[in-house]
Amino acid sequence: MPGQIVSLYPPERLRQLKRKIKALRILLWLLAAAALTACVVLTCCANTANSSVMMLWTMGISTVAGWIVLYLAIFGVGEGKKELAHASHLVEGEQQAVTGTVLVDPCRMKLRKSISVRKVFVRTPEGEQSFLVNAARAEELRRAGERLTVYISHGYVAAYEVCP
Amino acid sequence: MKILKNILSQFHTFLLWALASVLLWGWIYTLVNDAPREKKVTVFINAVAIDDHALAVRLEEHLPDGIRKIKVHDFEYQMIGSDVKGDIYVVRASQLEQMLREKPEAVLPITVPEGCIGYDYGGSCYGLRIFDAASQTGAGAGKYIWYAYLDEPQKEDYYLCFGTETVHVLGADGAVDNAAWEVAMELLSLEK
Repeated sequence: MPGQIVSLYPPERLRQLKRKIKALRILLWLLAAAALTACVVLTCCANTANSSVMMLWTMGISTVAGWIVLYLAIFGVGEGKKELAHASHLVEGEQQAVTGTVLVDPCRMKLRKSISVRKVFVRTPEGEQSFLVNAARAEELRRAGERLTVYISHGYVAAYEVCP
Repeated sequence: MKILKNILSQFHTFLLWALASVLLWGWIYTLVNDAPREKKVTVFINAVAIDDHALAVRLEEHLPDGIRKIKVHDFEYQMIGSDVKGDIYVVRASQLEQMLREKPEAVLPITVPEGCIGYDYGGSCYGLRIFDAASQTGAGAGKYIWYAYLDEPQKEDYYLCFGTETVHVLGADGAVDNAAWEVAMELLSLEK
């Protein structure tokens, strides 16, 4: 809606992100505990007759559960924490308004030890400036239109306003 | 697609975990499957072939009191530098004679129980016959222990004897019980 500043990181979204990270953490600890319990039970039930089979099952459960836990830890909790840190950094920072024609680059870039981003070009009467936007929020910015006032914090688009 | 990309980006991590998991549980199962010397009876068999796992499972059906494990190994296992000390040895007659000739202190003299045939050497008995070459029959033959090749009859008898380092034959130094005798009797009673 023209005239209304829309934040790419509203408080509700940050709260949701925190809840998601907490839920994933609980899930992966539960999964790890369940897998460990299963492996310990299988080991205790092993005897000379069935030890080969029990060992294979134990290795299988441990390996697969470990993969799932690692995946959730790296790409669930890890990525969520990076996004939350990035969002908090932008929200707390000073914002500078830039008005012009906004073009969002379709190519994604992965910042080392941080989030994926896309380039944003803003054409103003003074010339063209480029900034970055969280790739997860880029489509929202692109759908808002071309003529926007973007609010920049630490070189990233933190909010936007549709120009009348 | 995104999941596949993520997995490929951390492929080395997943591979390392798989390797660590296999090694860790393999080591744990090695520990779980073993027991201290006082709680296990170890049998070494020098035959054409043995089904060591099946024989161990069979012998563990009647575990002596105080024994948690029965380990069965091919005789070469001991020859290649292992420090495992055997309680029971099953060897050919010529091999038993060689052992008694070269290292008589390594084999325990025994009293032959009724119904068994012993191996006499130098006035004492050192072994119990487990395979008879004349009839080509032996305990557990064809199911757990292969005393002869399929196309060639075995020319020698096989004998079961006890190592002097055993702790499971009463009369041996440091013996804690007579479990090796019980396992030997169980071994000799296997179907011929």
